Formats: sequence, structure tokens, C-alpha cells
Amino acid sequence: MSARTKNIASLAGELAESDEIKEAVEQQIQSSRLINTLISMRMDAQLSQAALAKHMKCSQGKVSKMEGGTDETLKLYDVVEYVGALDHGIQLNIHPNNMPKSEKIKHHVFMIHDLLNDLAKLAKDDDVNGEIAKKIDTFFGEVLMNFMRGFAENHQTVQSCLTVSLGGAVEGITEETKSLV
Amino acid sequence: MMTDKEWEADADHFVLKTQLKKIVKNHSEEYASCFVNLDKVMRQLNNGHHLRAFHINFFKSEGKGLYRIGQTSVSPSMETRLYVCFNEEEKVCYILAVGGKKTQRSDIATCQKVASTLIK
Repeated sequence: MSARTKNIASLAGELAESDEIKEAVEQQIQSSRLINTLISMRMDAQLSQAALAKHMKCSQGKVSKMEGGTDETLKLYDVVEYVGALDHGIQLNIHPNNMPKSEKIKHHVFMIHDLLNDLAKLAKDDDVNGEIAKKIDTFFGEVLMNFMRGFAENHQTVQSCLTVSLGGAVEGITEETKSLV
Repeated sequence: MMTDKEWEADADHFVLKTQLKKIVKNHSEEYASCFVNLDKVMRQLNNGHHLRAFHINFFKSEGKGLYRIGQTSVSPSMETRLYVCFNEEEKVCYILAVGGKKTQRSDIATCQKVASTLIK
């Protein structure tokens, strides 16, 4: 038998002397990412399956069945209930597959704008000696710094791809990127 | 909560190999499911969760440091389980055997003996 490994699918396949089993385990592990996140969230909250079921107003068997399955067997409503019981929410982002990245960025910029707006309102309503407003002000600074850093890195990459010709025309832009700018 | 060294699995001390062959041949889905659930357990260990804090239905203590991991999400023609033990200091999960309900008593006794040599 082989040495120690972190790859459970390989180990299952090796013991069974079957590549088919290895692939089946691998595929199911890949389809258990959301389940693993859910189990981890429940454990972080130090709740048993029974305790979570109580919060979800369902049977412990249902929680057990969810955690024992794969992501494909999960129902959206059950996941909403599960994370809701752990005081979390779900944000679904549905968009066309061919949506340009520029549109996605715009969408996120608007979302960030709305969230910052909410925080600004919170600061305005602050009546606890301005403590909340001070914290929000610091946070705004951090957001700006992080954004500038990320933006600068990527902008630099873009600029290094561009060569400006003597006539001033920008070369190196493909048809696809033209539709993004 | 992540710690530096990740948990590893070790099958060097696997016993009941004839039984393994039969299960693989006749109940491969159940066998695969046990390993998928083992992966779930390993991930939670890597997330820093302690064995004693585990509350997962397919994961049960059989005493003397031995644990069983059951199959889920398949319609079982035979209830299959994977027997494992853990060395928490070295972060190693020893895969000891795979068995069914009919042979569970002797399987557990055999695995407990092996486990006692690995986790002391």
C-alpha cells in the first residue's frame, strides 16, 4: 500500500484496485463543496444536527440527509433555511453566461456604492458620541486603499500590454476587449 | 482556524482484505460513499474541528479510539461502513477495514486491536 496521502479518492481507488472507483469518489468529492461549507458553518456555530434542525424547524433526519448527500441533491430552499438558522443569508447572482466582464464590474461597483451609502447613512444617524461614525470613516479609508491597490496592480498589467504607436493609435487591443472599453 | 499541517490518511494497516474485495465487487457504490464521507470528516478536521465535537450522523465512535464512517445517499443493498482511527498528534487517519452489518461485531473487535497499537 502507498504512503500517507491527502487524496482520499486515490486511496479509495488504490485499495479497491479500481480507477473507476477512484473517479467516482473524486467526482462525488467535487460535488460536495457546498455541503462541506455547510457542515463547517454548523460546526463553527457548535451546533449538533439536532440543534440545527430545531432552529430550522425540521427533523434531524433532514439535516443528516442534507449533509450526507452531494451538492446536486441539495434543494435551494433547504440551503436558505440551513444558513438562515446559522444567522447567515444567501446572495444569488444570476447573469447571462456571455455577460461581458465590464458589465459584471459595473454591477459590483453599483452594489458597493449602495452598501457604502448604507454605511454613510448609519454614520449620519450615529448618536453614540460619533464612535460609529469614526469606525465607518476608518473603514471607508481601508476600502479606498484596498480598491486603489487592486486597481493599480491590474491597471499596470493592462498598460504593459499596450504599445502606443507613433501616430497615437493604441495597438494590442483585440475585438473582444474593444467591446469592453 | 486552519493549522499548518494538514491531516493525512494512511492505509498501511488495513486488515480484512478478503472482505474488502467482496465489498468492492458487490457494493462499490456503498464503498465509494464511505470514502466521500471520510473526505468530509478529514475536511472538518483540517478546519480545526475536534473529533469529540463532531455531530455527523454517518460518523460514530465504536469505542477504544475506533470510529466508523457509514455510507449515505445510496440505496444500500448492504449497509457498509469504513473503520478508522485517528492519531491527533500526528494528524493521521488510519483506514483499518471496510465491513457490513453482519460482520460488525468481529470487524470492530479486530479493528479495535489494530487501533490500540496505532493511537497510544
